[in-house]
Amino acid sequence: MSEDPLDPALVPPAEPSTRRARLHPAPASRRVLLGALAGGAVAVAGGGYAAHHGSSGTAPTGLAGPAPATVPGRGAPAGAGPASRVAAPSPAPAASPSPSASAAPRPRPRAATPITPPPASVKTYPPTGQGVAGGAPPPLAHVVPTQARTILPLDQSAHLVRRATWGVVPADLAAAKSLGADAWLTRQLSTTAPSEPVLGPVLAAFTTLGKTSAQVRAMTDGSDDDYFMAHGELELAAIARAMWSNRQLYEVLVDFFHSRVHVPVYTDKSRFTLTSYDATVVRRYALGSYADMVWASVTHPAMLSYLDNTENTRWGGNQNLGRELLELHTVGVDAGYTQADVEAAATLLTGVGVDDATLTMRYTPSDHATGAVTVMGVRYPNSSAADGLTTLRTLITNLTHNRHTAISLATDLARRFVSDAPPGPLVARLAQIYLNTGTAITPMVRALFGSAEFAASVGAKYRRPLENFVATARALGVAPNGPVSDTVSSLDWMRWEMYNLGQNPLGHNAPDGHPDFARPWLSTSGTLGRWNLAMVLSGGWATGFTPPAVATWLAPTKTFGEAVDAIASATLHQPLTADMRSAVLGFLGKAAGTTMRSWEKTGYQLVAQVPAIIASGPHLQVR
Amino acid sequence: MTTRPLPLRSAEPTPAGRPAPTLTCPDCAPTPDPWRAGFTRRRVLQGSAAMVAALGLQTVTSRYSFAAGGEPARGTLVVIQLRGGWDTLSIVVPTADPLYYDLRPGIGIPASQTLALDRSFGLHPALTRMKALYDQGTFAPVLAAGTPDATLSHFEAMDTVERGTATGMNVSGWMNRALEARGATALLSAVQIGSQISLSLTGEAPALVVDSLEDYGIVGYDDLQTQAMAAIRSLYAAEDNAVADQARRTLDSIDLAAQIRTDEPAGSGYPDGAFGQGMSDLARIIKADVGLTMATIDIGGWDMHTNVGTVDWGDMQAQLSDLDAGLGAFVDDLGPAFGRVTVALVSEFGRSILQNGTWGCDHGHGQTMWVLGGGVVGGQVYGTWPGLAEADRFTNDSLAATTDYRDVLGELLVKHVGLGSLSTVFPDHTVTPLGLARSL
Repeated sequence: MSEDPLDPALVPPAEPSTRRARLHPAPASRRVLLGALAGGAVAVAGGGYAAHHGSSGTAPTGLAGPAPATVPGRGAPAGAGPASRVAAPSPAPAASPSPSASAAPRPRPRAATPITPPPASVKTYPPTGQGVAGGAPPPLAHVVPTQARTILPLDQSAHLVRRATWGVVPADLAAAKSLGADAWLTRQLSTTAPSEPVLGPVLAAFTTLGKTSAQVRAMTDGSDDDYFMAHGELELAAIARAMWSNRQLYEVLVDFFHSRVHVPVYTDKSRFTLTSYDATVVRRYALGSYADMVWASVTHPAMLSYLDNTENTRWGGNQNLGRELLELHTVGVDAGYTQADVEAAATLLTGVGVDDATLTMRYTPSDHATGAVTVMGVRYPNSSAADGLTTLRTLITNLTHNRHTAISLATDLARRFVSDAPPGPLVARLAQIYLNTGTAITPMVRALFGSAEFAASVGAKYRRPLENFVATARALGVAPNGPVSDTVSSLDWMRWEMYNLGQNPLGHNAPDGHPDFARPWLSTSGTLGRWNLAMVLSGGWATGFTPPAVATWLAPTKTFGEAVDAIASATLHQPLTADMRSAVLGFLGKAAGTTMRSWEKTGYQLVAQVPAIIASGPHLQVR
Repeated sequence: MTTRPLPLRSAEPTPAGRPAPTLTCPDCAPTPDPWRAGFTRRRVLQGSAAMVAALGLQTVTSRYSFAAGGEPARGTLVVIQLRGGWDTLSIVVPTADPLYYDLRPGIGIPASQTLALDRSFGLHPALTRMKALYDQGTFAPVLAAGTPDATLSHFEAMDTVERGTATGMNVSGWMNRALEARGATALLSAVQIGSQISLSLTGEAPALVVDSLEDYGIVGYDDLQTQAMAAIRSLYAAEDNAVADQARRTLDSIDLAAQIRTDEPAGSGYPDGAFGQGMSDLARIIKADVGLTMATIDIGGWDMHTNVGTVDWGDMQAQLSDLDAGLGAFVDDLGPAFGRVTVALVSEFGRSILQNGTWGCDHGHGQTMWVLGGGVVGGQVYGTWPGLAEADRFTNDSLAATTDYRDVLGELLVKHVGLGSLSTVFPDHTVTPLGLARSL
């Protein structure tokens, strides 16, 4: 078919391969056993297991349990964060490189066949793209979505801010209303970083950010204090950015892509290289081209180590990366690829490894398996080991420009920003835009937020633990408090709370990233955990975070009814229903019209417990 | 006695200069190892959507009832997961095997100091309560158990043990699949003692995570907790969706925990620390008879590359003292309820037979599992000893496994927990019972 996006004539020319001199023989094995796990010392690689920091007699106090009278922090589980390392904010800027749009304009393929979603009878539904691990997300929706009943207001401006940020704050609401949605989105999607007066000093405390992998190793190796120190800084930085960055949509997209081309923390395989991966793969291309991101990912030491491509040579193959490249990063499990396609992709990946001395990618031609292979119907002669990277680049270009990849990525974006069961027609339109723009990301995002399907999805997404925590923090106006070291300690505490709830930012212990639909996250312990965190924030128990400014909210109020209304308005930006208002007044044991005495106005019940109750209610659980 | 070890694949590259265990055809092309497949990705068998379960936290669906109390379990299975790879050669000591003493000159447990189980094996002397239970016939060790996965990586091995299958059903843990097979849906059918649910208990069937029974509740409302809960319940009263259902269930669980605290005071005699406290909480939940079917608790600290020690020095004797005291107090606390409780202990692997240069041992494979309970046919040593001679060893000079760990767990699931079939719990293994359990 002349319009076939897989037609090699439509593929933009690959960039010249990076040839590296062969310096050393490839290492025999890079599998590093976790020698540091002695006596409950360190968080277990791959995350997900509380034992090594939780069960050897020094159990930190989690919140699905005890009621700390003062701030307990998390009693230094081994692998504790950088608090002990932070003396004063480092003068060196720790900001990650600004993301750039696609580097050079590339010739665009002719418009591909319009994407139509497969009919419901096709057997490939339901699992698509990222959803395979841990259970299948709901399938694409084939009915025109109508607005379901929701506790949230249907105001479109608020809906946009709620979905496009980590949580609603008054400044964003005001800006979206005054600028209008398009202009506000343009500002959010700008590749020019705004100033970060709140976030900047916090990020400056994390000294590994922005460093190369070799530099990170020099800074952290040999330290028994904190075996995964660089990973910890990444996680704390991610939480801080979500809480306080002025480029909220960008940070949401960074989180999204960290799940899409996922390399987790707390594994030896990425111990020194994840810092660079975060900066040069995800953060660099989140507003750019997906083809660029996948190329950067598949040639980055973190991904190469994590998915064992360092052991993928002509002398003994390893299909791990080859498989996940197809299954998770590009075309997705519904694309109909076979085991032969996986082996072919793995063959083209042979010889792509990591130079241990510099922790950079090193291609070793003598490790490359030559010979023609076919991946998803496209034949690669692969006759020259010296040109192996060029061949690989062609593969990545073809795969990222494949219509199945378009659908897979569009589905994931729609699942993040619209609903668990993304609307099929929207996915089709977004996929088409992806192909028309040569895999650009931001046009899809803009089209998504401008769609009727998006407009009809108010309240359709359940907030996962990290999303709920950050949204609650933003609703309560939480800001850094006191010396930066205190804020870092509080962030570290929150990191372990997120770990317990299963969503520390980079922590999903499989290559498919955190599941992005409600069912895996709905749990009793998860619910109790978030209610407890609401109290921690509301009560100001984390000394590095400010408590909510309830005194300011209550300043103009006189009666208990007005007080409850003021707290609800400041945190939820909507009034409580009459029944809910009565419930809160019932907790206070007061009638709405009763005047507050001055000590009641500043008492713990009104200042901490009421905001926590409201934050535990239904409003902040959905977005 | 030498017995051929299970046909296990060696996935771990061997250090240069040592012959690889030739368990598969050396000339054959590497075949995809299903057990390797399990740890880096989850695969859903196309069309098997019915058995797909969620990874991560426990889930709830509208299929399950929210009634507290539920049906009483036929028996309660408690799985204690030892994290780090316990060195069972120091725990259930092969006293009659001279090679053991040859290969562990600095850390061998003298035979005369062990607590003899039979002519060939003795317990580490710290295990006095376990010895008493053995003599009473309620405790039994199972020699040389293992998984089909030869990995020496903690993460990979734990993944394998906890998933219990290499098929597409490995999106969930084996304990959770057992809960589903049992149809156990009560509010407290399953509990994770600790702060984060373990993989083995992850899946469709709901489970509670209880870090501390005394403190289970919402923090910060002090003496207004009941009023706060009432207010939160009211906030969700008009909501009719999964989020609100979960909120109501959570409030119910807090009420249930409060009821258990009232009805079942804490026992005494537990050692200080997380394990003792956790077993005390677990005993209260069991005695409250609220339908607990499966429970699990972790103990860390077993990864003894250094300083494993012997009788009165080193890390092992300290760990075993805590373990012995905690289990002893637990059995005492349960009293007659012990009759329907079974405790199984398993780690991700055992350790090398050889002593290393730092008075410890490196990772290995075969381990000795423990089972204790009112329905256990105890007082004897189960399993087949593979031997310590070089020809009998497995990867990294460790004990070969002669019993699949699922044979132990499967028999307990059938005879004690009351499962009719294990086909959904261990779909790629046919369980051969050892005869270590009586039907309850």
